[in-house]
Formats: sequence, structure tokens, C-alpha cells
Amino acid sequence: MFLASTSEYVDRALRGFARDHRDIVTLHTGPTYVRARDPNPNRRVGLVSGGGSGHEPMHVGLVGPGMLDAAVPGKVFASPHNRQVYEASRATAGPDGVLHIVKNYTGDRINFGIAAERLTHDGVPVARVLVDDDVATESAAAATGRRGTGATIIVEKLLGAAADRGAGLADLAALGTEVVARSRSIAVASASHTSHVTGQPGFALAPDEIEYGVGIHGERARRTIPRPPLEELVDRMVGDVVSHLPSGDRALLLVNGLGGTTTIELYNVFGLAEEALDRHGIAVEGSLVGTWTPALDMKGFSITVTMLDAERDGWRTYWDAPAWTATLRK
Amino acid sequence: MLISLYLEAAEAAHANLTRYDQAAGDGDFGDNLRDGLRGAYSRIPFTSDLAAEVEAAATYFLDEVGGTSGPLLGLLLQRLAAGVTATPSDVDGGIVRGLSDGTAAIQRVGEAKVGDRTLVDCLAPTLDGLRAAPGPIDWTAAAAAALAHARATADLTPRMGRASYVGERALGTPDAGAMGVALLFWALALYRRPESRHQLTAPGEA
Repeated sequence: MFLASTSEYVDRALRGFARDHRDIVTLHTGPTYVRARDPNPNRRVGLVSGGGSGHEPMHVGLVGPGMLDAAVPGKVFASPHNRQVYEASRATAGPDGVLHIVKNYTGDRINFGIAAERLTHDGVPVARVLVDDDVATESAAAATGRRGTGATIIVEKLLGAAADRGAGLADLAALGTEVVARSRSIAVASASHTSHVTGQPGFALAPDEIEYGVGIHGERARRTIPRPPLEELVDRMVGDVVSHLPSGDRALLLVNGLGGTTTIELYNVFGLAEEALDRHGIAVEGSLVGTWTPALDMKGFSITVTMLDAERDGWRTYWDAPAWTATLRK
Repeated sequence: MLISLYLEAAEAAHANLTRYDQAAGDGDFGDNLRDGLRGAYSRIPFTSDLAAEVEAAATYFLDEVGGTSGPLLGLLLQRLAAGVTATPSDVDGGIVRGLSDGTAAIQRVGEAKVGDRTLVDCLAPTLDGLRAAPGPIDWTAAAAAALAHARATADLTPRMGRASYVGERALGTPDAGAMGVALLFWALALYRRPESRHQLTAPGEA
């Protein structure tokens, strides 16, 4: 990995990021969080997300007009401290409080939860949208539930647009929860990420095998399968995702690289995924293709589908609404 | 001061807390509790009343103490301070209401139920007993009950928290977090009844 030799490479990267995008964000230290330089005055609720580092551009690259008011990064693959969440929330809360967008991992739940208790104690209204979209963990260890992965990007975009229109805390929480309920993902990998600790691959995989159902922290999937042609693989993934979604005839589609996957590969996946969805009678009405939620440099990709229908045409408006962040611009 | 008594207990129990956590967790609970209370003690203004000293300790545990249990103890102390502040004329009642609110907050955040083998297994039954008992609070009995509840976690198979990764191998050793909370009741007993020291089980034996 190309990381500075001291242990503070996350802070170093954040300083670089904030300098590079100084027109959009500011970096707060002690504790660390990134916030939007020019908050939207129409917002009544601050949007705060966060989680372990190693998934960039999530979340700091999504701070700015139309999306997040603040992002709170932890160390690589580790939850942020509650104090970071608490202070970022105090700094960005609107008159109707603050909404936490939290991926479903134990550490994130606890640390955002402690921060939420502190905010409540201070009299700041707070609510949470828990993102748990990964169908590979549908039946795994019922206590922990599905992991939160790529759908987070879609949730943050739609909620950002709704917040810009002055939506209140309860409405935003309800919208976010409904978007999560209508979003599912699956990921595959053909090679491990490089461990940021050892500098070695996290696991070994033969050239004719893939991991089906990986997460975003370098963990193996529950299944290793013989590697099918990409057409078959994408068809199976889309089928898996759609089978876990409510019915609908239109959708948002996110094709996400896991860090070591090239753009030409991702657009191959996107083209095939759109065709596969078409065979299910689902038209893609909005899309995003790129490296949005990686697991460091893992070679793989994920497919996220958010199901729309006639009653949810408003979500398309939210999807198309303006945003100006370091990495997502509309 | 309550926090100096709690620190005294954590110093005396440090070796045992470390041993309990090594059996079931990562072994840092004794350090986190002792170092957290040392740090908190150093932050407390000299003239503080009970609510102010506990509030200062709460902020230190929430902001500075490592692990998950450190900030969770911070929530407990924050609600304890609020409980004491809410009813200046009824300190004992404020303590019980504050600790009850704090236990509820810990359970909301950590999602642990009674029986999961966490610090809730000391807090919840000890507070249930205090709320159920008629008349003035018997803090000496409360400290003994808290110690007994903490010791009883040795018979619980972990389902949440630090020990859930080792499963049944934790059996036979009490939960370090539960024992750490029992020490708070030792400190409360001594704070409210300074003459009761010789009636209490010494924290070094916890």
C-alpha cells in the first residue's frame, strides 16, 4: 500500500483531501470530522454520516451542497469515536436537529448510539437511518443482521435532496428507512485487498475462483465459487438482489468498484446489469458507476438496486437534484 | 468525593479486573477503568458538589476512555449527575433515578438484555432491588447486592459484549464490566454512609 510510514496516514489523507477540496469542505481536528464549508440555509436538519476509513470517497467525498453536512472518519475499517460524532452533530445540527446515517456494524451502531444519547441529553433532536442492504448477510448470524454497503451512497443522495427542501427530522428518518427497505446489494471479488497492517493480501484465491458475497472490510465471503463468464455472474447477482426487493418496474442502479477494479470493467458490469434488470421488467431511471464504496484495493465490484415505482417518482427528482461534493456532482 | 472513592476501589481491584477481562475479553478493562478514573479525578474542580464531580467524570469517560465500556460508563455517570441535579432535596432518590436512566441509555445503545453477561447484569437487578425496597435506601445492602450480582455473571454464557467471542470459555469468571459497576455501588455506599467502611467487602476482594 502507498501509505505514509507513520501511523497517522488517515489524518494525513484527510488533511490532503481538505486542502484539495477547500472550496467545499473544512477539516476539524480534535476531534476529527469533515464538514461542509457552506451549509444550505434551507436545511432544518443536519445530515451526518461516518464510519471506518478505507472506503473513500465514502463518506468525506460526499460532504457538500446537496448531500452530507458532516462526515466522521474512523481509522481504517474501524468505527469513529463517539466524541467525533457528537461534536460533528453539535456543529451541524439544524433547528430540527440532526440525522445520523449509520451503516449496520456493531462498532458504528454503538458509537453513533452513544453520541445520540449525548445529543438527546443536550436537548438536540436526533434520529437514525440504519443502512443494511447486503443480501449476502441476509441469513447470517441473525443477531447482527445485514451489513451496510453501497446503498449508503443512494441514501445519502436522496436524503440530501430532501433535506435541502426543508424536510423535518421525522420525515427524513422515514424516507431514509424506506429507501433502505427498497435497496439491496451484492458484491463479488476476484482478489483480496492488501492488508494495511501487514502489506500482504488478506486471503488467497485461485485465478478460476471468485468470492461471492464479500463485504467491504476485506473479509471473505461465505462462498467461493468457480468463476463464471461475466454475463452469467452479473445475471446471477442481479437476480439475487431483485429477489430480495419489493416489486417495481423502475430502479436506481449503482455499480461500485471495490477499489482495484478499472473503469472499463465497471462499465462492462453496468451494461450487463442494465440488460439483466430489463429482463426482469425493470427500467434503470438513474445510475452511478464508479468506485464509491471500496474495501481498500480489493479487486471486485458490487451491484446495488433501489426499487422505484409510480408512487416514488419523487425519489427520481431527489436523485436528479443538484449536488456539489468532492466526488458526486450533479 | 464519590469519584475519589470509585478510584480507590478501581485501584484496589485493578489486578482482579484485569484477570477477569483476560479470561473473556481483551484484558484492558482494569486499565481503562483505573486510568479513566485517574484522568477524571484530575479534571474535577476542587469545589465541586456531587453532580458537578460526576458530570466532569462523565465527560472524561465519554470523550477520552477507550473501549466500548468506557464511554458506556460515561453515559451512566452523565445520567447519574442529571438525576442528582434534578432533585437536590432527595439525593438518594436522584441517584437511583439517575442510575436507572443511565442503565436504560446503556441498554438502548448496547442492545444488551439482562442475562447477556454484561455490566447490565449488575446494574439492572441491583437497581430493581433498590426501587422495590420500602423506606430509606440501605446503601450497605445495595453494595453487597451489586457485588453478588456481579459475581453471579460467572454462571452466565455470554451473548453480547466483550465475552461473546469466547462463548462458554468465559464461564467460571465474573464479567469484568459487571464487577466494575459493582465497585461504583461500593463507592456510593461509602459516599452516603462514611461510617460503613468496615461493613463493606473490600474492593480488593471483588
